[in-house]
Amino acid sequence: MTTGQSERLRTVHRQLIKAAQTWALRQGFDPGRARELRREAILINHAHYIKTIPAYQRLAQEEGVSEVTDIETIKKKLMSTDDVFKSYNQEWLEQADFGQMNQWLSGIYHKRIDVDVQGVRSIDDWIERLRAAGTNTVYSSGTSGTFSFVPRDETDWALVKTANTVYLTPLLTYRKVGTALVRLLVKPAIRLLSPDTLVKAVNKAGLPDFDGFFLGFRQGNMGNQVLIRELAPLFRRHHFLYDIDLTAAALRCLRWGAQTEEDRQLLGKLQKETIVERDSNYLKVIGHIKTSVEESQKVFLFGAPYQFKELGEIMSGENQRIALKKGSIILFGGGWKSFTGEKMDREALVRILSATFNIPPEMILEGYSMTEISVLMVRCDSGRFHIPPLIEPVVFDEELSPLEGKNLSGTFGFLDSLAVSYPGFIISGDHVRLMDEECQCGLCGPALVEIGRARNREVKGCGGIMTSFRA
Amino acid sequence: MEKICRESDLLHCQGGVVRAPFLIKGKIIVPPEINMEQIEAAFRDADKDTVYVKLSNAQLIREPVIDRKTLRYTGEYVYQVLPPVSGPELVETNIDRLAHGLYALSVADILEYLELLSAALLKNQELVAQVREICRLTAEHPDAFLDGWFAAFPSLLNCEAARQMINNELSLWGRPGGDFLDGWVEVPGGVIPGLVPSLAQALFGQDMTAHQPVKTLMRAMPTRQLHITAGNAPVIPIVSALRAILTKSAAVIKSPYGATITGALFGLAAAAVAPDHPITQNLSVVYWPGGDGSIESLLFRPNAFDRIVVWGTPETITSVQSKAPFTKTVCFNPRYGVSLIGREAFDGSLEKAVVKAAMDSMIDNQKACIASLVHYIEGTEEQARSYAERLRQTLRQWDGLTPQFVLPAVRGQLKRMKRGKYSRAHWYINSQKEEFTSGVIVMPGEFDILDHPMCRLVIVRPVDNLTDVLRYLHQGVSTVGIYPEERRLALRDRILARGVSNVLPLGQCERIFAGMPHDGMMVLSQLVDWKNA
Repeated sequence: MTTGQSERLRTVHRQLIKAAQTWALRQGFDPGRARELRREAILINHAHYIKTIPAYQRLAQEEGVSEVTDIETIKKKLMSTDDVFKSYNQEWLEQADFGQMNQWLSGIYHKRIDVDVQGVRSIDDWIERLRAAGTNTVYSSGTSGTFSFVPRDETDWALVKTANTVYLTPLLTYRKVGTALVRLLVKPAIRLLSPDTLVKAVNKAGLPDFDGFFLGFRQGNMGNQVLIRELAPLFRRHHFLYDIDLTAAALRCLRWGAQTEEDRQLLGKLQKETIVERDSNYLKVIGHIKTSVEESQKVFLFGAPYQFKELGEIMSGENQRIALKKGSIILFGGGWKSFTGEKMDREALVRILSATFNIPPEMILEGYSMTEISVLMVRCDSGRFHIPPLIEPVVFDEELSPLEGKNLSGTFGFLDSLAVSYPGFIISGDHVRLMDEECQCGLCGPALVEIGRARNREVKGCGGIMTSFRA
Repeated sequence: MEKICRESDLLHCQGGVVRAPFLIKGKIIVPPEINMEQIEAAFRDADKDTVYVKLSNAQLIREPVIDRKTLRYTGEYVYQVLPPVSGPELVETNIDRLAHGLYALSVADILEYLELLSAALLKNQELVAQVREICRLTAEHPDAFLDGWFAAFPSLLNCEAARQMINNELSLWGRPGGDFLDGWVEVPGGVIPGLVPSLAQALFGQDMTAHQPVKTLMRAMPTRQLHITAGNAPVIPIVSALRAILTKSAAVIKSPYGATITGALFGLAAAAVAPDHPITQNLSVVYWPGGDGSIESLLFRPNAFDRIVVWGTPETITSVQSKAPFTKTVCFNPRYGVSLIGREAFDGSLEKAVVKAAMDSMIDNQKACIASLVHYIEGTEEQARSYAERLRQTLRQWDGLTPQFVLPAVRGQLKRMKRGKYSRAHWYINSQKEEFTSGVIVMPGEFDILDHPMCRLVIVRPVDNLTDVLRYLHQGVSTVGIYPEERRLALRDRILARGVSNVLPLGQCERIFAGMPHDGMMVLSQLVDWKNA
């Protein structure tokens, strides 16, 4: 990117983040202007990707698209699927060949990655080396057990933190966090402060009247873990369900089996914590929550739906209920299936949590995000996951052609205006219903109404494949 | 056949509606009269993926119409009106009737019956053509394949081939299988009386325990069979019915969605030419949607059938196996084929190797369990790419001869692969109006076979040595085609020991012969019950 383009992009990002803020505040938001800014950022990113990201270059070349193009062409031809972040050879991980992994990651990053991999024996070591060199890499593990790695440079990382703080603060403050008076005072403050200043203020102020409880691991580089890492310091105190690090190596062993003694030990530790001592870990968290309540602290509780189900079951088994202080929040996200694939009913879970913690249903929030996107979308009281104006959503039909309209069902994709260091034009594996209209909650613009996984195609014919085989 | 169709308004497409009969224990059951308005009302609230609706007095299927020129969905449907079916009417419980009737037929009787069927199909060419054209409206298979299958119907019922199947697949003790199917066969077994007779003789003495030696007799006893088929190739119900007929089975053939019309045609032929024949009287060709508990719960009960033959998706097979744990199940699991091309191909015979390997990939338009999905090339990556480019050109010629319909979801899947997990691979694509028609991917590393769309796309993997491929071979691979012949013979047993069923010369993977094993089984031998008396 030229200096001029870089500066222009920074300006556009600042304005866009500010626009996201006014959108969340439901005051003075100009959707047309936001759209212009967003699209300008996307086109600058496109030109940057073509010059610097080999995978994107290749795709653009094959599709005959140059540096100068339009949004519709990008939507039609240049959106990668989320699988691009797992397009490496599995053998490289098996053989701990992180030199090859560097090379592969360079293909989906805007700079060559050349970190020293001498002595790197695990994915976590590799990620730490990358971070030390300024590349923050988050991974996620899907049902296939194959890891996706999404690299972001420090600028992108800071931008993501800023953007989310800036629009989530008013979004959550709106009828949720704090007293009416606080909300009355906070709104103008938010409007007046620049994004960077607001972030500093939020970080400095934190949420001292909240204790944070995270139904996850103390440390780790998985998507949820990274979010936990960013949120945890905001609270007066924070506790984790599992007081160990979640390592990629241990997760890999869960899927592929332990190959070495070290693997076996890692797996044993993980299984001990999450299976053998699962209930006692939940009981510890419950104990800490009680302490917080006794100390008149509000509680922020975060985890995946199945974890809340487990928590609810354990408390019910112990015949326990805890009346959380008014203003406490539960936030869950990460899909509605448990590890066993059991589907859960959202309404039932909300009812259980509401009864167990004496918390009104509107304080039980749900978030939708993924490793590949820069934003967290929060479900409103009308049941919609509103998409902040930083993101241009796209819905695809089964042929992966973009659809047009205000009420669409299909595969969810997005053009992420904040993704500069990796190709942020992504087609996800989620099947959604997207509506673009005013919502009763007061937010406008596109929102996801239904979210599920895209269906696998049934193969006809006697030919076929029983299961995943390497060939 | 044509008379029955005329009288009951069957098997012709009128205003997008086709009425198809069932054969239930020899009787032709016609569907009720249902008009388009009623049909559309039944599907009105269903989403676009709904293909079946059950009414109280009928079953409705709809299949999307494909424009054969553009090879795209038109947005219209062909609706089939089928009779209802219930479990009790399909189960045969009068075993004595079977023993004295159907089971007592001779092999000569069976072959004569096949002659009648074959003659009926040949005689009713107009009707067969009519049915073929109905199938063509919605067939996902290329026209050339559809036409070929329909032309082959009579030859599927070829008597000489049937005789060979029986004689080879049921052959034991050096005797042809037909002998065992016709009745009891004395076999020169060296009899071992067992432990108890020796003890008894010691206990009670020779007089009390001596016996007249009897002959050792064996027989291949027919069974009651339920065939649950899958796939939409029109031949499938006929192949299943053939196996049932050859083993004198009281059989129920469940046609798959996509081949109900050909199943109906076959049932009609049986009822028309030999309505009183024991085979026809004990044959049912029907349809119900897989998983319908109201029908299957009875059919899967112990003793409803002696054999359940199931082929199809992993879900179908595991579902049937879990619901019918006490009935012997013969499963045809989904499998696939691969090709191995030795470095010798690059010494002047590359073009031939490419053509032959492409033939193996084109079997059933790459949807057969023996069709080659992956070509392993012994050579450098550069050689693999050169191979891939030639293969792409060869596939383009196939596209010209047999243009194929590619499902919209498959088009989406291909884009997903190219823009995601397989973005590092080298893609060699044939297209028409920017739409995929066929192609080749050269993979720099391993490929997850679960991602294969089976739509005339070949994965090419360069390997240093063909023996490197051995670790990718297992029971899920049905067939390996190899070039050249010396390499095939050298690797054959090592490959077969890994669970592969067929190791054949490259280009010959579609070949069959009467009496050959299928998926490691002599199928007719699995369908009969071997008796000892």
